[in-house]
Amino acid sequence: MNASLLCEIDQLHVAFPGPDRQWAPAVRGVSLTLAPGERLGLVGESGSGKSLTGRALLGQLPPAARISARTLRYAGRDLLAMPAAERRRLCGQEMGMILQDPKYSLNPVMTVGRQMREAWALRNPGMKRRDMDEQVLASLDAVHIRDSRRVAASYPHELSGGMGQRVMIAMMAANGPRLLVADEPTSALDVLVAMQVLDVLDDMVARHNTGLIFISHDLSLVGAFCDRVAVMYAGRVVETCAAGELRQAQHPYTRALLAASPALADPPERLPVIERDPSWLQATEGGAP
Amino acid sequence: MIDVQEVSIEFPGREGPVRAVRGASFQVAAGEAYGLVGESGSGKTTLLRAIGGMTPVAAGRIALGAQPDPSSKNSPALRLAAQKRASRETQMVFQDPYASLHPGFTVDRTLREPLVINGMDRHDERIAETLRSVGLGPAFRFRYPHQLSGGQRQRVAIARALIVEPRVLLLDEPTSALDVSVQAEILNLLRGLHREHGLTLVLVSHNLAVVGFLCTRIAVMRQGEIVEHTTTDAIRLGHAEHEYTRRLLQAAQGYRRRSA
Repeated sequence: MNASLLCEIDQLHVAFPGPDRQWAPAVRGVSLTLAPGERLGLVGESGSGKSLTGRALLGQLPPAARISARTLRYAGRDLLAMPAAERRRLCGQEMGMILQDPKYSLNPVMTVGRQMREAWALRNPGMKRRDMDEQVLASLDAVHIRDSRRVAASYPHELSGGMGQRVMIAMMAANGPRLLVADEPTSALDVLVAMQVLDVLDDMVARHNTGLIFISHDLSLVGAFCDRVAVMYAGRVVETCAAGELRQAQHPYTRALLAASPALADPPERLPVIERDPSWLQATEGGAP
Repeated sequence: MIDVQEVSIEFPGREGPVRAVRGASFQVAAGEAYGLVGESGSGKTTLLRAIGGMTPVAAGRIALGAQPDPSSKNSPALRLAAQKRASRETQMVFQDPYASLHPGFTVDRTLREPLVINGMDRHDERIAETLRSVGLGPAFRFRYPHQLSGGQRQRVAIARALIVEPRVLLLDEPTSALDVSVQAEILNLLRGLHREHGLTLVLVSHNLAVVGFLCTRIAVMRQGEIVEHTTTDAIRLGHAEHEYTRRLLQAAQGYRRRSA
């Protein structure tokens, strides 16, 4: 156990009930660490297990999932042995999650202000209504929402995607969570709006020294936003590297992913297509299966 | 091949009609690949649907290759026949292959229906041929969409468009619902089809790199208007007249982190 780490995951397995009473593995022995203030990018294709890894840490797996791990620790505390109520409390107060599409992750029948107050009340029981209202407006201002009073009185469907995602960030990040899992926070947004949302997230995370797990399928985006990148393939981490060294990545899968997205400046005649090597299914980081 | 002249498109709104597209004009030559770029709500998909004849035009004119001017003195029957030919010659591929294929149809039935509608012959032959041209083997013919991956579904959607031998393919964000690895396969396929069959492409996307890979000329749309006509070469050199195009270009070059 390392006291300076925020999260420690060792040999995490997540499986779902499959046909013929077999368990279908979705995450197969993932080991990761996250330091306070660190930004870890989790990249991979759909179905690589990246979202499940993030959800396992928050205790937000679907009920059918079976989870096991040698270690699953948050701030030195064993999450697997922790009572459910304590875990839920942690989730509201110290950990947060931002999902892909604010249309689905905000409550559609509650005004933004009301659901933000709910989140505040959870973290600061006994806070006065007026103070809470002020906090709500202040946190909307902090994510660069100009007309915070109008937005607080709006329902989620009255907001654009970028605005909704900023509300999500304001809700999660205003209080400064120690751990934030952002699951594809910008992939439903237009590129210009995505850049603004990333700026806001960048700012928030830096200000509160939050440990961030940034889940995305966009390798170059993660490379630019995070400090470290873990590449997942078929439920395993095949490579971890410093974000700045992504271009020198070693694993053929990482290299293939990088090559597959067309460059604006000088795209090749044909985009290289990933030739999947069966050995990638077995090998984990460091080589040994 | 495609001539869009001062086209405006309106939708009914609570307080009178809402203009989704205002005075858009551009021309696409036969065999050319043309890109429409812009953010959501800029009207790019609406304009594409109007070219495909799925959305009525409030003002202006869209002419497609062989389509005669509606003001000409042809008989109604002739006009109808010409219209039918134009709609066969212009086919569309939609963004989400999970939503655009009939879940209860096998691939075979999905591909057979347009052949029947257009009164075309040699059904079995054409189905097998078209599947091969999008890189799917005969084994896929009797599968249902839920038995296919996202990339395979998009190939079926492209085959569905190709099977009636169109001259124009309208592509609405054809890869944005797909993983980059699958996107690469579909982009290669589209580029091959464009080159080998001389297909005219109109591609709508918010991703400049994707548009740049396929298209030579680009129109940038914002809030229902075309703000700039440009080329891929100019974009690659970093030339952008309009401030909005510059911002798009900057965003396409990746995120720049502010905090250390």
